[in-house]
Amino acid sequence: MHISDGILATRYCIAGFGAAGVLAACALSKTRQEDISRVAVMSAAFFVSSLIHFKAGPTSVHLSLLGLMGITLGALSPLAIIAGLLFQALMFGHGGITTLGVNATIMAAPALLTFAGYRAVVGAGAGPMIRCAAGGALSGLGVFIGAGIMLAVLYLTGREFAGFAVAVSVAHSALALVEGVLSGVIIGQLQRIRPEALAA
Amino acid sequence: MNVTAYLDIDSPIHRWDARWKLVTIAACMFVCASVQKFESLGLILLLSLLLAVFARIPLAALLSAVRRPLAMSALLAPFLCVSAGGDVQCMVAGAPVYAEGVRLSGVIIIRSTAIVIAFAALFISTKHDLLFKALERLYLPKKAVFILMASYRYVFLFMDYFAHTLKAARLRGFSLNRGLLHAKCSLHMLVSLIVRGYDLHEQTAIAMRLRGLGDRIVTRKEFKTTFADIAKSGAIAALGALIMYLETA
Repeated sequence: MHISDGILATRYCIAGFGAAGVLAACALSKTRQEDISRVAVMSAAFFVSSLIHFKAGPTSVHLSLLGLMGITLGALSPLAIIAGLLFQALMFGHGGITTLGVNATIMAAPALLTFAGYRAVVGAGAGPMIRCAAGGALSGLGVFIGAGIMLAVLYLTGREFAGFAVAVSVAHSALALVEGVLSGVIIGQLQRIRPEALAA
Repeated sequence: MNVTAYLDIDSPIHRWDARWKLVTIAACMFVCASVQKFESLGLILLLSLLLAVFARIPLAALLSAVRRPLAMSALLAPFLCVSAGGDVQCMVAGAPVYAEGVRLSGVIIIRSTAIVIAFAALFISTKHDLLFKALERLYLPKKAVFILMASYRYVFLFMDYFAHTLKAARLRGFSLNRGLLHAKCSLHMLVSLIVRGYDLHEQTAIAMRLRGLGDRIVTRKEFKTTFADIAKSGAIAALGALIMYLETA
């Protein structure tokens, strides 16, 4: 779910940095001194976790983990996402530096929505099984929303990218299903092993 | 040697004040992202290569830096060539190859290569604590800089932990790409990484508090702008302005 350097027009790159800046500023305003280590360490943990690939048919996929980041880090998740994307661009050439803002917005907005949805489910007094299912479904939905934003950005960049944008979005819709199921299982395990890790 | 490692040599780019270097190369990357014409594209590639040459980046590190973005662009290019629409340039295996798609693919490949090379010149020539300190001096919020710096430090720790876990699992007959049972193992590995992250953050928070670390970047180096720093930034800004002029002319 990353747009590489060189694809987007500068105005979209700058708009992306603006949007990511707003999300990061909101997150920073909620960051207390003791949260700094939590965001930093969890960001690194999620970054390395995203290196784990799962076999899906003829290919293998790695999870974006944006829903899980939202559920574990809550309103602070945009900061971890920005850090993670920067390292991915730096170390593996996934995504880009000039497109960092756009990529961060594509991932942070769904992460925050997932967090809000999951918190509402927990607030309604749902049991562990329903929480897992809701967390999984919301994570899958998050990937779907992220793919939608990416489709919109690519389409706005130029009609030439329309075919590519649709193909990428279809692939991500399939990924959303895998991500949803696996995120639900991971949330279930975290509920048993370390329930306090779930922010909501 | 790769672009994430600092190259401890002497070069004009290494001697450049980190704050001036950061701002100038960031602006340079945005110039790279804005150009469309082929003469301007040639110039941005030349500009970024000059930065790499002056930074004395080893060829292997440079190739390793551009390999992935080139691979991503190479994946995108055939798709764009056959789906961009517009005038048909030729037919390949019964599929139309559009002129606009070929042009766009070339633009994207050159732009992304130039951006990555410019970024490599920045990262490989600046000590990382100085880079974070420069970000702080450029008024990026201190908390954000500290989070970036701490994450960068822990990424390598978690990669080590993951490599050890993977090695142990492989010795027990585990493979990343085989069947449902192995997917379950991967899932456990992923959960263990997240739990370890959560456990480690508590220890890190205590250690930071005990050492009196707040959200300050601690480094002995102090920045001092010299005439050479301004001249280097000015020269690159002038080249960037020339490229933008050629682009709009």
